[in-house]
Amino acid sequence: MSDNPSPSPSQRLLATKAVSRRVKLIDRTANFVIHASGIGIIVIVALIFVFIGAETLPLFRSARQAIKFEQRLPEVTKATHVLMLGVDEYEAHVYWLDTDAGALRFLSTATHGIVAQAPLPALAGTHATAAYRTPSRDKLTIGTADGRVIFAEAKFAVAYDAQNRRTITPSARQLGVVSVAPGRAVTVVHVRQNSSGDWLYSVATDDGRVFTGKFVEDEPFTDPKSVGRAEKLSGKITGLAGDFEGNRLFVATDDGKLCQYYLAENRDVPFRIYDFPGRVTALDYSIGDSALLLGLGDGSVEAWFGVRENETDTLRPIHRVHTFAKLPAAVTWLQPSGRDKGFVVGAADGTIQLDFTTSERTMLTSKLAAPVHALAYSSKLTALLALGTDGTLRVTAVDNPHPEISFKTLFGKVHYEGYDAPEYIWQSTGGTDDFEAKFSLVPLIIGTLKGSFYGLMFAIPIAVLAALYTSQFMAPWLRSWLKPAVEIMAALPSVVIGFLAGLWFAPLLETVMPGTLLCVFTVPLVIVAGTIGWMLLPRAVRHKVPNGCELALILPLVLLGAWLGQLLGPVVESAFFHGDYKQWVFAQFGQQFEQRNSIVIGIAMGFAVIPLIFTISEDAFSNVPSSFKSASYALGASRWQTAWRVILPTASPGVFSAVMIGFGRAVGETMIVLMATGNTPIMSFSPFNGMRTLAANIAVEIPEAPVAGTLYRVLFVAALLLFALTFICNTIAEVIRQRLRDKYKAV
Amino acid sequence: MHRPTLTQPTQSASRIAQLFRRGDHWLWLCGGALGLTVLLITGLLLLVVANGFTYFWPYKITAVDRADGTKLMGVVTATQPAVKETPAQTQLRVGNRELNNFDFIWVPTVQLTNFHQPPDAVQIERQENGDFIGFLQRVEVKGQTVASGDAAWTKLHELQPGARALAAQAKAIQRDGIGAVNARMQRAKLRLRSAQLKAPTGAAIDPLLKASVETEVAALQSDYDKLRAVSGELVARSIEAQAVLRTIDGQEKTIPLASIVRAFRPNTMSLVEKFGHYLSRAADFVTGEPRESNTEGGVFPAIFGTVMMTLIMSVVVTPFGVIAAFYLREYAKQGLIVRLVRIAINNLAGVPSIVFGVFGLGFFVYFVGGGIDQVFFPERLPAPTFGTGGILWASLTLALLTVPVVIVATEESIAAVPRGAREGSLALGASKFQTIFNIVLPASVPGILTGVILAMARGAGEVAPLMITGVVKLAPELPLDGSYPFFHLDRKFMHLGFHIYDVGFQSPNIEAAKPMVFTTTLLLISIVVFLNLFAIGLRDRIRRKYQTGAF
Repeated sequence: MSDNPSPSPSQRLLATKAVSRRVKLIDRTANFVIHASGIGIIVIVALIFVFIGAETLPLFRSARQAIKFEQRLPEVTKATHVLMLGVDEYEAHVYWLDTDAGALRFLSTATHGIVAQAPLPALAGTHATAAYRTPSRDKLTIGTADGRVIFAEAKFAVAYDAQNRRTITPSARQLGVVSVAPGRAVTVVHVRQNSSGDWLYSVATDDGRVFTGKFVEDEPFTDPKSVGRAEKLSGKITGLAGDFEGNRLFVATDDGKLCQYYLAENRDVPFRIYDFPGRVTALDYSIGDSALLLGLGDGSVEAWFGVRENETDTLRPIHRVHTFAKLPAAVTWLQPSGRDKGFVVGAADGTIQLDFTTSERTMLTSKLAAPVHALAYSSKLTALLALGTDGTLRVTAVDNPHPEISFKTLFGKVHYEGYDAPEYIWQSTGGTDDFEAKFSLVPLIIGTLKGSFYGLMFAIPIAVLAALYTSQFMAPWLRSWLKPAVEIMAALPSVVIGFLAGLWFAPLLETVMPGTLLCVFTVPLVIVAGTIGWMLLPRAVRHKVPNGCELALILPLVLLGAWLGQLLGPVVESAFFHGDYKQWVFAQFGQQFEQRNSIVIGIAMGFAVIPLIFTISEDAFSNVPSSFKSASYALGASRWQTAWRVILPTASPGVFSAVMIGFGRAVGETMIVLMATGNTPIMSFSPFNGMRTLAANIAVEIPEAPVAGTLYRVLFVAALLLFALTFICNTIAEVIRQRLRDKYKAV
Repeated sequence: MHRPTLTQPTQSASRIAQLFRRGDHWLWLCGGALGLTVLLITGLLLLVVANGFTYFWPYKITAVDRADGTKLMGVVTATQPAVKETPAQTQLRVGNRELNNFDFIWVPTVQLTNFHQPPDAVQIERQENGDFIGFLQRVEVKGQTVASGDAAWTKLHELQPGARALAAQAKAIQRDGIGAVNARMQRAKLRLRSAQLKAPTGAAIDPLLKASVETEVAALQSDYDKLRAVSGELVARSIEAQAVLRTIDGQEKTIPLASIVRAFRPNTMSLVEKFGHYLSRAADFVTGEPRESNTEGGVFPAIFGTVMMTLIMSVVVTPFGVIAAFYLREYAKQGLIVRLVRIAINNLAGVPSIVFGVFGLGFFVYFVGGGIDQVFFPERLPAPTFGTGGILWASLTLALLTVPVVIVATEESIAAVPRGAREGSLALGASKFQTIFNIVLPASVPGILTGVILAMARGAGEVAPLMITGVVKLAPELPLDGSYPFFHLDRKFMHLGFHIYDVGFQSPNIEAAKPMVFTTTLLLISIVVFLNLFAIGLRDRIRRKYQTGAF
């Protein structure tokens, strides 16, 4: 510009235009950016809710299925001659045994041709009449036409070549042969392996007799023992199910009877006989050998558990606990899963259904063209094999990640295996392989409400009364000091409160419990007595303390009351609780006194909640228009009468909203509960034991939960619950507060 | 205000009747509730201050005889009066954990006689196994006695710094030198892996690259061996000098000088020496590394982690919070939507922090972090880089948690900017953005600062969401250090609040760790309270400044 000192007016105009254009551009850009970011923030807030919700959705979805292929089984003349169907854990081979061949046949799922035949030496000269494959491993038991039982296993050797490609070579190994009933054909076999690998088998023969025995590899076999009296069971035996201890045995017959034996107690006479008019057409134990799965002639599918009738019973008759979606025709095959409490059933009209025991959910259904003859479920639970009587094999890929969760298992009473009645239980991990995780959120919700309840019990009276005092009776200069102090209290990290409550306060409280509870009475009494004493003093003395500074007199009274409580505590304890309140609690309520109990939680949680309730209700009290107060005084009401009858009712919606916000905070409080309770998920409202809350439960369990697993998603459900609960509380509080504000404005 | 009195009371009985009629006792009960609140806060603060401040003080060592003829020596930490059947008890901190298997012992007071404080009792703060309490016998170098008796005490202090320095040197080589070599070796191997992943399946990777990586790894391996040898030699030299001590019951114990952090005789220390000792330990606490799974030593990594996390959080939360506030106040059309959004934001402040943690874990760590790993670090998989908890994810989670605080504070301060200033600017022809940027924003900076400081205070004290998004008990490396790329956003970190939880509730020897937890608590509370006071002060100043202008 320096070499052009006097620009012409038109030039100046141009320059101004350029500037204004730039300004406009910046303005428009800023407009856009701020709008976008502002909306972005709101989207992110919504995203939290949506994301957490989306993570929980797969829990409630059905299983997904996709048919991989369908083909006729090669070299099978009649599909009904197939006795057993299996699949290896890599889902690379399907294998089966039919009565016509003395060998296991392996079909590759990649080339769809038979890749191996493994003859079993013991089948030479006879033929198989029954076969059973254990659900979890490829262990086979085969019954023959000459009354023997063959124990064998299918093996799949895995090798990797230089290019890291996998080859699997299937083979079979015969482990032993036991002669059960020479001269009779075996019609049904069933087997379980116990933890040391011994085979516990049960066998039915064509003359209606049942035998059980134990087979140990590489040891001389012991003779199988017969079950039942010499006289045969009525009807033809259609199914057997024995447990891995070789003790419990169920025998189903075609005349509609199911006999339950406790072999160790009585081999000859059934413990109970159950009538099934519809006939039991398929039965087996689900994994863990506790739930008996039954498929009936009318298409019903049920799970029965042994339930004790008395506490002391050792023998348990079975009861119908779960029922599943009914199939349109008689159940022809029931295949338990080898890994969870799921199972597959097939019906005479070709329907296939995948159910889950605990949740009673039907995860998927499909239909074959012909009646279902045999089923298999891979050990990874990702492939489902179904063979129709027309000889067609269908292999379906299954994705079934969370069958154990239903609305009922999360929020309802569930009858778990090994329990005598339906209960609410949270128990996410266990020691054994066949442990079933129990995901009832109810104990956690109860724990959350319990913690909040005791916290609010302590906090509400103190916080609201303190706020009333601060806003109505306190000198303004003192108030301007006190409010920031309470705000600081609100900022105290909860981990600090939790630490002090758990490690310092809980052990201390245990020693002075009766005295502390007594303080609830002694402190107010001492204060009232102090008031009376003060009134009796000469007026001259009283006027030395200005109005609004009574706090200075009250503080020592509070301390005096607390001291008196502690002094009287042991006296009361020896007078009413026989000198030991813990034993008294135990005798009176039948429950152990825990050091980290709900009283500790109540006080610690109160610490976190008091400042919140105090601040919000103080605001509500202070915002009551002063004309109300003046009118009340003018009518001759005292300070307290005005506060109690005018200010409190007017501000009560504000107090309510303060309590709601306090509740929201208490519900979500994590560290205090985590550190100051024992974190046991129990269903009890007693003040003398602890709790586990939703929030603490998330903090404890989510670091160990496998990503996208069931526990992980259930914890997201817990988070969603917390989110929803606090969101509702806070919204109610906020709406009430805004309406109150509008009301005051109008006055 | 006047107390409305209807009659002039003349008798005490009528005065009391009047009192109950007017409800003054209720008024005093309200005061009692407030008094209780005040007492609770002050009580809590006093408790923490009293316990936290005394942790470093060198208390006198007392020796006592027990009724069974044995002797005890240690610091008397507590006494308990007789309660019912249990007699009065005295608690001693006797140290010598590796010999006793305990640090503290409760003994019935009646069994103790002959309380005295031997002047030559020595307390030794060690690198491992806690404190040693006993008597110094002699100082040895390479097994030869170089000083005994009183001379040993001076010799110990003379030799100890040298031995410590050697040990520190060895440790530095192990951590920095060997650490760097390891990192380079890892990077070389990852280069190979990355090439393997990029190559089409089945094809062999470039033999030149393979050879170069292999020579590099071999060279690094020899570097590694050399450094190992050097550090091993330093360690050997550092433990040449040893102190031989005796416990009160006559057991001898040899301690290398290199593992003695501090040796002192509390019974003969003057007050000035005690203060010096106190300050030196306090300094160590703030600047030192943790020892004995966090129950001893310093908390520097935790302080560093807390500060770092809080700073990253503020850097993220400030622009977002401020822009959102400006959007709500200045840009959005005021109506039902904005009202709803404001309710939503207020509500967000009330959502439990653990819910944010769950979101952080699911969204940031597994979804975003897992995605980053797939795209940028496929060669390191299945070991996660960003797909696991780390300081970035923890900071982002906390930023989300604290964004309502900043939005609310900023909105408040924007509202307080006088209308006149705004209108004056617009009248002079400034555009909307110019007005906001040059007039409103500068005026609301103190308010924004208040919000950010409050957010920092909240962030510094929060533990639950951090526990699941990246805080660990012990992080071997700080998130900021001298190795490439210097600023490691993917690293896990330590945090004061988690330190309290971890040491107080997860450590095997809680009784011994408790005093230290109190000190950490004091530190954390000081930080939080200081930040809050600062914010409150700032807010009051703004309020006073704009009180006249705004309304």
